[in-house]
Amino acid sequence: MIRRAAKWILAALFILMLGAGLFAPYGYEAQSRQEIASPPSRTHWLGTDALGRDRYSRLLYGGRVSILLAPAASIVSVLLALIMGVGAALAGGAAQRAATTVIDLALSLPWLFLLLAVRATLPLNLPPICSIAVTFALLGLLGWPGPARVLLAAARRQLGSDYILFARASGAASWPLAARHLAPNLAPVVLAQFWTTTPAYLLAEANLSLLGLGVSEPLPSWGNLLRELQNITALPHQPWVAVPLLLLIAALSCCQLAQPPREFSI
Amino acid sequence: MIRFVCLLLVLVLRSGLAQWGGELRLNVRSEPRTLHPALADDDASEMIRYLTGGVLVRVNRITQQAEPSLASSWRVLDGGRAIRFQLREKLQFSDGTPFTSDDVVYTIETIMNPDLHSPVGDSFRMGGRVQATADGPLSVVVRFPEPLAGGPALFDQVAIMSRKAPAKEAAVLGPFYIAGRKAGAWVRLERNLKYWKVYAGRRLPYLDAIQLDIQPSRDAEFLRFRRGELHMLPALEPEQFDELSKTGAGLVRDAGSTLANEFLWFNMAPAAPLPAYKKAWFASKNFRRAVSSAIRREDLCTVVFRGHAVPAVGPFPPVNRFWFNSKLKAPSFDLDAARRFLAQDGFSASGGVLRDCDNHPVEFSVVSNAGNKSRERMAAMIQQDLAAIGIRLNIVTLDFPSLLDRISKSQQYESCLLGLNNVDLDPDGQMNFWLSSSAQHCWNPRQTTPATPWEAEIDRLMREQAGQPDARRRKALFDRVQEIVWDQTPVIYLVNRNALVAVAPGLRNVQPAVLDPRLVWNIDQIHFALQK
Amino acid sequence: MGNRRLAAAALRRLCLLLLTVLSAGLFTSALVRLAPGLGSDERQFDLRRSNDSLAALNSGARTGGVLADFRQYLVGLARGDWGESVSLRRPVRELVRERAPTTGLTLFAGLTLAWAGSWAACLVLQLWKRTALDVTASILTGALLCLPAAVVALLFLYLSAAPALALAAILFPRIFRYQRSILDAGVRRQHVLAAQARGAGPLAVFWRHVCRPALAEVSALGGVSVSMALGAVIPVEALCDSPGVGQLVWQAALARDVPVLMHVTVVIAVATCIANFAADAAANAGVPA
Repeated sequence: MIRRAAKWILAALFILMLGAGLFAPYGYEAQSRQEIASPPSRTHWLGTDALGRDRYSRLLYGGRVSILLAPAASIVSVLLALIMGVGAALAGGAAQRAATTVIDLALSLPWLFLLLAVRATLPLNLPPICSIAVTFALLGLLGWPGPARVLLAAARRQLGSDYILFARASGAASWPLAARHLAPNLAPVVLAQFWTTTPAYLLAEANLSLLGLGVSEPLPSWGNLLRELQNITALPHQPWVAVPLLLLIAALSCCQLAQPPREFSI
Repeated sequence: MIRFVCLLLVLVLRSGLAQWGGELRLNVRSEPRTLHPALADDDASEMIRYLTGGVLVRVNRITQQAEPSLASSWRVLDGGRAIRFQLREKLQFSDGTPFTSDDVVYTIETIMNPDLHSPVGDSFRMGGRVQATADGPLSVVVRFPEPLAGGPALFDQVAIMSRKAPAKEAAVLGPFYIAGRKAGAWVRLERNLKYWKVYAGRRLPYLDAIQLDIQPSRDAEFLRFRRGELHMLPALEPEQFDELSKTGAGLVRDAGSTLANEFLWFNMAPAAPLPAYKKAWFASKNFRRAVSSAIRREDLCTVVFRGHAVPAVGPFPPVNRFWFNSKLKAPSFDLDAARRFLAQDGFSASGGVLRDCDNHPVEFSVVSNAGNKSRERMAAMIQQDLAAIGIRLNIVTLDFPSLLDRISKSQQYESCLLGLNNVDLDPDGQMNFWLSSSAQHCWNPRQTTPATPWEAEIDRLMREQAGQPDARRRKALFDRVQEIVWDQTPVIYLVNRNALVAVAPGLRNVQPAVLDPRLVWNIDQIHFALQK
Repeated sequence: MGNRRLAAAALRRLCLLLLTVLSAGLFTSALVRLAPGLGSDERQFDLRRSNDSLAALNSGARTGGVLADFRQYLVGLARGDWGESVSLRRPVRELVRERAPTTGLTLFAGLTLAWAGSWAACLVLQLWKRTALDVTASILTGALLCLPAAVVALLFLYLSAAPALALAAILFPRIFRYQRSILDAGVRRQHVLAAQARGAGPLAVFWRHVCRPALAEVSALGGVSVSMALGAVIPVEALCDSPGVGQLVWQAALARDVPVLMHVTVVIAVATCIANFAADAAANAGVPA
């Protein structure tokens, strides 16, 4: 019953986000300058922000960006981590040591400067969709080292298992072995990484706007809506500002609860 | 007689009611880059210099008039080419070294040292070398190659250093001295027991110490003030001001319009890597005036600054009473006028999109520094305003070094939204902004010859006013500069923000000013209320 | 024979560590140079400054290039001289030495709390298998994951809590989710069922048959958690007013302070390598033959 309820909630959220053009009462950029930072009312269900823009509309439009692209970036980094971790485990020996060194190096470097360099090469009048795509692509491409380390250790452990020994004895080559036997058994760890990095990328997008990347005005995203929470002392007087956070938590939780019990992992 | 006795009683009572002692806790937003008084050029270093340095002349931040400090009097000589300062006697540095005219000579020599590149020295260095000579132990004459516009008030920034003190720059004449420091955490100042000012028979300052905590985050700084860990906030955000106002009227004050202005300018550098048609747009006065007319400055003041700002007119706001050109008014919002200006240059709108005479859609970007909420919001509002005349504005916020790189080196930008925090009432303080040959002439820096007749005219007027000893004549010249700027709009002035400050309830004698340092300009008179 | 192999392995590790350290320095220098803003100084907009002063500022900021920087860095490293911070005008070594204890304490306390919380939560969930508990844990960790690090840091500052608690709050959900999935996969293995069928108690099953076989992965997670902590400590210290190395890095990144960034990156690389090496060693020691 919980799974069904979670699925229905998720479906409703997706429909709302994707149909933002239909369901949002206002455009995301429309400024009502007489009603700045106003509380929830009949005309503005979640109130307005500091520029008089309807928060509910911006929540819906922002969801389209974040709910679609953050998971996509997460998938990219998961796949890269999986390829790196499994590949290194299969290769073993010097290749594995080299992979470990590369991972350790990648974990230590200040990638912030690469992001700044990318921003410098992009034209200033970049269409918003390109800016968003570049942002999330970068997040996906740079987020693999940490999960790769864990997956490498997990893959190494799996490679010592009996079923792998049996598969090898049956003549399975490395990559088919990895795809057919190893990857499914790594699924819980992979999924854990996916569910951890998706909200992280959603939040990271907002931080990237400090570097000129990310979603640019007036387009909203859940990341930049969540940045409003930094005004901690104002929250008790404006609790509706926390609605994007609650919605994100609800969405993530429903995604996990909607999975079949066997795959369920926290 | 009775009045005299009453006055004496008041003085005695006042000194008695004030609490002597206590530690004032303040915040600075960055680690001070230097503690050398001649090299201070960031906010934290300048704050420390103000609190520790003794100066010949101190500008009263409320009246904006120069007042005697270490110099008991001065006389301007030779048509403004020299000033003789008469020094107070029997003064000592914090380490006990006597203060004499030779220390003033040493200080001037230090700041004028070309290898030091002192920003204070640069303020004086107008076409020649400044020299100081001692004329007895308590008299010094400072000579300038040209009449010093701005006069003795410039010495407000010159903290006197001792030639002989073993402690070097650590020996100070101000109300406090630097007692300790922890990198990245705090700087501690303690009362200078040799400070020269006395009140009601007791040596000032009232306070024992000032703890300067280093915290770059505005949110964290605000939190700490709310918890009572800080005693003052000199620059509140408008929302923070409104939030604190609800807790108690005495805590927060809107000190009025500051000298700081927010403005937007277009990149008019010929070498800028921009398409020729965009360069043509930005070089056109009609285009610039159209953009200026389409911006709702009143809305910027009301929405972004919650009413704590006024529409800007030009380089100086009305609060700069003497230098502001009162004949000028802030450009008014007028979409019809904007369309007329654009039509004169062959622009036309169709389907909500403005196009130039070659059918290019009018679209450009504006860069600003990320993390400044007010600027981000202003940009978003200007984006909406310009959409009404069919202009598409793309907002790009960058980290500050990247922004500086674009606007000062690579010129890879189209327009920029920034602010200027003027510290100087005198237009000479903006000389480097207006001279076309300057690296800081933001819209087209480092010109070998002025690119336009109006820039040539501004160059001429600024140079003439700098060498003019008659204040009224200087004002007339600078008024003309303001008129040219208003007409040509190389810089679209947006708003002058107000000084929003917060002071803890237990403090007395704090008089918020719009000039920096806003809350501690009279630090030697600030004290805590008497504890019951 | 065994000693020789051990020595060879140790030498190999040392060489890899050296390679990592040198690469970290080289790549950091390259990355900082690649990014715009190197040599930009807000003092360029001090209107008091003359063109000569501005030229002096610009010439002071110029350096010889990536390789020249790197050569200077190696020479300095050999002499124990870490150079001087461009923005703070103090020796880098002195700055790091002053701040390292603060960061070390924050990291140690934050990681310990996060891991202790994660182990405790995993234990509770394994011993009391309730859907309600699972759902609650999912929602709580999801909530923490969805909070921006800056908000967490400010929240703890608001509560006057130590920065280590903020760090723990940031790390805990990440560590817990990974650990839970690793242990959950372990619980489903056949030998666990067999042990339960033979009457082994829940704690014994959990430790001996679930945790110990999964030690390699959990240890690897330990190594990764150190990297996560090193990354998270930067905004935590910057916002929580904690004068540690993280705050120094934040300021150095904004100021493009190459000497500070190079040396701190190397320190981070060394710490990461050591943490991962220790994790691997612990995993190898714990894995049953």
